[in-house]
Formats: sequence, C-alpha cells, structure tokens
Amino acid sequence: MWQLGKRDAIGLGWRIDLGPSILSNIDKIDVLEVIIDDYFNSSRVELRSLNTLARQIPVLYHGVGLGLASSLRVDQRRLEKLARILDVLSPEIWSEHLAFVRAGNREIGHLAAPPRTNCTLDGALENLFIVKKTIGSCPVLENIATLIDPPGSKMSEPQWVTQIVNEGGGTLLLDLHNLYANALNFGFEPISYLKSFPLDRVNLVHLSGGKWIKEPAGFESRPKGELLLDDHIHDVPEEVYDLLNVLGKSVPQPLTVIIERDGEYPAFQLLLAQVQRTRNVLMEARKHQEQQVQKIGGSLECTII
Amino acid sequence: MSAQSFEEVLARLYTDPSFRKSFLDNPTNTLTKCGLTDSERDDLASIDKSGLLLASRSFYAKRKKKFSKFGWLWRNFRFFLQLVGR
Repeated sequence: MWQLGKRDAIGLGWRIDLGPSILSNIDKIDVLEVIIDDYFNSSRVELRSLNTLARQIPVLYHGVGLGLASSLRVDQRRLEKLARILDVLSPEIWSEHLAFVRAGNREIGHLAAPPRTNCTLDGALENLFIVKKTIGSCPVLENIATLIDPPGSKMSEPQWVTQIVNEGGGTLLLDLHNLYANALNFGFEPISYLKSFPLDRVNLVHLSGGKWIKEPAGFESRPKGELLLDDHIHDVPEEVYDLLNVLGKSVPQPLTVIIERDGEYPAFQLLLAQVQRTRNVLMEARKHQEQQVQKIGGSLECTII
Repeated sequence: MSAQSFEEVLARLYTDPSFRKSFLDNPTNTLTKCGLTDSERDDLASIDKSGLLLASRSFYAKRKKKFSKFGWLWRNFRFFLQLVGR
C-alpha cells in the first residue's frame, strides 16, 4: 500500500455524498482525508468502520474545531473526545487549523482568524503543548482563509504562522486556496505571498475553490468592491494550480495534496480530472526540479525560485 | 486576561447581531464595559467593517448548517449505509 510521506500523493476529502463514487474509483486516488469532528459522537464500532476504510487506502484525519490559535486554553472536553478517537484510529498524521473558534462560551461556528499577536502566538504554543501531552502527537497545522483582517494584529500572517510552526516544532498543511484568497483580499501578490511562508515545513497541501462576493453597500473598501470567499463548492482555479507548481518546484520533500469539495458536487469524473490535473502539475514541477538539480550537480534543499 | 477579553469581544462581534449593530453605530460606547485597554478599543474601533460584516454572515451560515442535529444524524446514517452496502 501507498505510504504517506515517501512520495507525492494526491487525494480527496472524504464526504458522505462522494463516498460511493470514491469507493468505486479508489484505484485512481492515493489518499483520503476524513473530517474527524464528524465522528465525535461515534461509538467505537463506528470508528472501527473508519479503520476498515483505512485498510483500503491511506487516510488522514483533519480537525476543524479545536481552536488552537487562541490566548484561551483549548477546550479540555473536546480534546479528550479527540484523544479517544485518535486512540482508536491510530493515524499516521492528523491536522488542525491555526484558528480560534470559540471564546467566552460563544461558538463562532467556523474558523476565525485571531489577532496575530504575541499573546495568540504564545497561546497557540501552549495549546500545542497541551494537545501533545493529551494525545501524544502534534497536528500538522493549517493556515486559514479570512474575510477580515484580524484587528489588533502586530504581525503578518506568514510571520505569525512561521513562528508557531517553528517554535511548536511542527509541520505545515498549506492550504493554497486560503493563501490565494488572503493574498487577493489583503493586497498581496500570490506567488510572493506563498514564498513568505515556511515552505520547508510543508508536508500537506489543500486545494479548493471559491467565489467573489460583493462588499456590503456603504462599507466598500476594496478596489473592486469584492472579496474572495473560500467556499469549497467551486473548482480549483488555475492560479491555485500555478501556486502548487511553484511549491512543487521549490521544495524537495514529498507532498500529500488533498482536493477539498464540500458541496455542489460536479460529476465525479470531473473531480477525478482535478485529481489527475493536480498530479500532472506536481509531476511537471518535480521534473523541472530534477533538471535544475542535474544542471547544478547537487542535491536540492528548499529553494525559493 | 485582556487578550482573552479581546477575543471574547471579537467572537461576540461575529455572532451577536445586536451587539454588532450597536458597535457599528457607536463603537466607543459599545466597547466601554468590555474590559479592554485603550489600545485594544482603538484596534477594534478601526476594524475592517466590510470584512466584519462578510465574515459574520459567513459564520452565521456555517453555524446554521453545523448545529443542525438532523443533518448530523443523516450524515452518519448514510455513512453506515454505504459501508454496509460495500
């Protein structure tokens, strides 16, 4: 069976609506990613059914609700539930977002960008320490998309993410559509923005799509009066494949790339075509990388091209 | 403690429409009793208002979907059906 981290792997996010099609085309997909929060109330028997899936194909587990990036301590009950699940599943890798999702007994309901300050940086590191102590492993950390420039921020997003990943001793799940949306929404050139992240720490990648939404009347502040929403219900845009190409040329380590789609599903063949497209983009980038290595006659470390 | 209060106010701005409206109408008055420093109040007063409104709308849609108990049961039931049928 395919072993994660040995070479590039391309896969899909496991979604109930896609389940039958995924299982019928499992030979065309290298890896699946399961949203672990969907199974928080599952019995051990139900969890073992995920292990059945994991015997057919490598499975990554992805969390969305811990709220690691906060000056507030991670919710202990939620953490214990997660520990119980991961104990049954024993995954090679699991991941979580650098986001805050609750504060003062309020559930925000989704991933919110915290103020990028020393307080949230220290809070995230403390939370990672608690997670490691409770679960026994650290998650791969994912950058999030945000429609609002978090107020009170004293650092740029790449600086803040780099410090947490470096000081937390972890690796990075780089969501290229999140990165692309943030770059466009806050006035950065996407490829330069990509290069300001710690690419040598990336081992997982997410691709997805989004749509442009209009700013509310009377509050327009962007040149076009629009922001890019990362909604996971549109196809991966060309520009995001371009970012993957740059990433693939820049780093020597194997990448596991997951295409996320959360609704308005196209015909499954079209999703498979996106998997194949991703594979081709990454293969082309690696070929280019090999040629560069041969030219200079040495080994490749992370190079920002 | 103040950093936590700041996050609590931010979470309230994202999730409480009447608090958000009051803040947009009069940030200084609304933030007075929130346990924030002057500098934190200034940071919030200069918030990206368009981003705040769009993010709040997006979070509301996610909460609506996420906390639908029926949706959760249905998803799990279908997952079982698929595995049993396999």
